[in-house]
Amino acid sequence: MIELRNGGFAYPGGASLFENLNFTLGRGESLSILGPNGVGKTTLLKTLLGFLPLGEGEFHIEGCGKGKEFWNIVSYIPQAKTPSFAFTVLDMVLMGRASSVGIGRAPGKKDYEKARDALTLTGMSHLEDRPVNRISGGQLQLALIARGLVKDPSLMILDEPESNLDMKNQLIILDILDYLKREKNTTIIMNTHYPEHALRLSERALLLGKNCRYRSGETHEVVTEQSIREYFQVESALIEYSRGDRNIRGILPIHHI
Amino acid sequence: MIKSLEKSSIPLSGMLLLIVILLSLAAGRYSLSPVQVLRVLSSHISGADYDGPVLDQTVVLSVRLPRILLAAVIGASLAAAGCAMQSLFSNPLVSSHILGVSNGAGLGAALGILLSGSIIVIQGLSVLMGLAAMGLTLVVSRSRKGSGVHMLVLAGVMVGAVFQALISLIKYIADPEEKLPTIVYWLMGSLAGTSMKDLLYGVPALVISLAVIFFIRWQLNVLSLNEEEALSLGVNVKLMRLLVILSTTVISAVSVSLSGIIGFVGLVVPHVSRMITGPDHRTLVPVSIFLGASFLVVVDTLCRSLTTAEIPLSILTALIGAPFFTWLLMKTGGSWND
Repeated sequence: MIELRNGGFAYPGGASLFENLNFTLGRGESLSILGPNGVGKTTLLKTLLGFLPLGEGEFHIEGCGKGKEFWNIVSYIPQAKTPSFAFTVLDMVLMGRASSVGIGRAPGKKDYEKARDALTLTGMSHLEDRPVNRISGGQLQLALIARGLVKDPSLMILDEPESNLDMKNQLIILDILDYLKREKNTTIIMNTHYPEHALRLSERALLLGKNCRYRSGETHEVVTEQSIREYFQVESALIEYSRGDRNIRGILPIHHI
Repeated sequence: MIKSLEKSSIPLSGMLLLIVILLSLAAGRYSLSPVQVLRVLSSHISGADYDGPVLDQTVVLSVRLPRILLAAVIGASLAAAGCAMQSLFSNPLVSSHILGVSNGAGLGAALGILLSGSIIVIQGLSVLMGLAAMGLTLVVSRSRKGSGVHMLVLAGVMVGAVFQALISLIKYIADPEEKLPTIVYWLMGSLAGTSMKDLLYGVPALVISLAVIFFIRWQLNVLSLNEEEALSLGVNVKLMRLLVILSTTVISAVSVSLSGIIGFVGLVVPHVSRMITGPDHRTLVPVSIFLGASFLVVVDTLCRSLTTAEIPLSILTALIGAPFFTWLLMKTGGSWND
């Protein structure tokens, strides 16, 4: 069980970015964090990860402390950005084992096995020897997800994993995240600019707005035409499409207010 | 990057170093053939009698070998320090000079010459001031909470500039007949007159720092990512930074105290090595160590054998290093992955 209780944050000398935020998540559940630019979505992720101190309240993962213990079960997947040095995809993914490879040691056979498993799961095996500056943005994001997977995390925190990707790559990422939830019981928290991705993947959603307003709850209750109007100042239509046993919902933006 | 070359780059560069050392032992005004050198070495190791002139043994074992070993250790250390700094700053364009340590150590040496002239005082003050410069850089860069590597670099540049100015001040007030030339020649660097005993002063500190960088070489991969990523992968970023900063500071300070300010090696050698091995520090660090050692041994051999007088080390390092690097840049466009 993962819980944020009365979470609040303000930059030094600035107004509060958010306050009194609450959510709880069970194992294998997913939370999408939505909201317009500048309301503190990334800041919220950074406070959950401990990169920024939570001003008030606390973020708690059942049975898990801080520091090394935290990073043994939590993976953070940043937005895909080519690193300064163009490691191969395999070397990049191997770095995900850093918490279990001691100082002064290098990854061993087991670490390589884990890395290759993660590459297989993300469909990236054929690119393992390719330098990361010679793969596409979508492939780099998949490599970063693979890197996050090698420690078998219970919680994955992703910062806009589908931004800057084409439609097919977006769906590939969402399918992988959905698989991890169902098959590996991984809990997922992600920022997204796409309400339909929240509807597709997450049971729960957190919609952040200006002046510390927020709405939290089940995704279909949070992502509505009315809340999109209120929080984004956009008129939209909620559309539903069924094929077989799949029911897909999306938000069609009409015009801004 | 050529795959096959990448795999065999460690043994190949190791062999290159051995060959360079052998040729360097043979080269010089008292010229010997590599075969003679090997015979001197093997008779020394096995304890058997050498059947050639005694002078051969003296030149190889007492004159050239200590100097070559010192050049190799300094070159290897500067190259390894360069790799570690480039990883720490996620930037292939920095070297260990960037934090002001070399200028601090240079000031210490100049001060030592001005005040006493004894080698122990000069080297001691040099290391001490190098460490002081690093400390000052750290204090300035940490004056505001949460400031990152940019602040560290800027602080290093500022501290370096102040220490550089202080070196000039000491030169300005130094006695122009005696002290000034000594300071100038010292800062230009030279390994002339190195004996086996001299190796005991600085080499242990260099070797320990070099070993630290060698042992954390895989972690240098992770450290080269941005700080939050490295932290989230479970690396103790603070400890790793401390290890890198301490070991590179010791390397910079000690090498300046032994051989003056040698530019280039810490920047160029990791670059060239990265073109051969790719960015994985597991291969990059050992190859840089071997190539750095080879480079400085070659340059120092030229310093002592090109003319009848010694040429200062820093002059030839730049005169050979800069055109070579420029040629490499023109050939590859500065890229090491295509």
